[in-house]
Amino acid sequence: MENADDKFAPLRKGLLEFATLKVIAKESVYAADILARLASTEFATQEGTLYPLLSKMRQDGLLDYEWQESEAGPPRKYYRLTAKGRERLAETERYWQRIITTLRRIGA
Amino acid sequence: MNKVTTISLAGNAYQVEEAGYERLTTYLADARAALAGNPDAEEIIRDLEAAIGEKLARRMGPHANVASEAQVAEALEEMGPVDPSAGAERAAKAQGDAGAGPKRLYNLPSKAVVCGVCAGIAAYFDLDPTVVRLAFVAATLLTGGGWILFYAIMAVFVPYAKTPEEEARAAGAPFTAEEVVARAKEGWAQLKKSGAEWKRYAREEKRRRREEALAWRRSDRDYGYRYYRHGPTFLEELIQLAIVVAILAAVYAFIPETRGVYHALGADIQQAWAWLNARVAR
Repeated sequence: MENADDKFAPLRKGLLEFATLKVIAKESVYAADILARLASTEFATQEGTLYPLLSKMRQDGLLDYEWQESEAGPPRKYYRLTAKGRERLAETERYWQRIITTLRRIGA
Repeated sequence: MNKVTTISLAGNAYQVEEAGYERLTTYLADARAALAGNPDAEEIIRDLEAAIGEKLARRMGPHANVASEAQVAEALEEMGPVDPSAGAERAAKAQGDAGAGPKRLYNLPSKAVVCGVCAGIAAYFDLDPTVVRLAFVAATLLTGGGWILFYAIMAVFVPYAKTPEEEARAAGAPFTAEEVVARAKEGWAQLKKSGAEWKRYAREEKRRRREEALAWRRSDRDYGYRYYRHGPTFLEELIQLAIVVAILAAVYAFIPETRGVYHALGADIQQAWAWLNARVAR
């Protein structure tokens, strides 16, 4: 979980919603799947951070969930993007591209 | 040997060592504190509980049915502290939108011509106060003066904005639909509560009166005389009335800000009286 680049923590934090949108966009997922998907990346995070974020994204109307029975244990919440969530993802992608381009040009 | 406690996480029972239970309690209390003000706090807590439960179940394996303190500590370490920023950001935004709080109707004595009722309404609906005043005058003419009663009721029952914060709230940003629903729910809950309280009070009052009546009857029999049987006498009522009038007069004399209300009320009573007389005469 520890990331050596603590100086970039704010940057990662700001992009976590973007990363989460991308994970959920692929298929409807359970919170633990999201964590597992992010675990091997720079965006590795924990329930304590992800759950409040998912709740906020749901309040913002970006995602939605449905209960699904699991083989073992209690039913789980499976998250998927709403239309607004998809729109936000596309918008964020475009913005991200623009930032990258800008950064490249500034240095050139 | 360790003492074991049974706990429920998101509706599922787990057995944990007592020291582990304490860790869990602390974690959840911290989570609650971090989520304070978040409308979804309870739901998030429930999800966190479910996740902790899954982690514990995974650790305990098939042959153990008690989670040790170390296992609880590990699971909580994996969970990580609950990040308050997601909710806090939202709460701060809601605060910022509404200035110092939700918008509400005030009378604005600082901008008043009479009591500030029209100024308050204008601020609330974001209109020109003059327009509201003209509308009130028109309404008064159309209703033959009856509208003044409405004005008087507003002047008496709508709170007066006394502080700059209250004045800011008088013209605060409009509600979002969510806030309206939340406030309606809150109001309804309060109404239900006060209704229940009132019923209880009425019941108690009835019982008290019955007991008093019984006590009087008993004292009648015991002492052979009638004591205070018929409630207050005319004289006593007159004294009570005098006290109320004295208080009202004192308020008029010592709190000059309230005079507008008295004058408005006096004028309205005269108007209402004249209107009634006119009807009766016809």
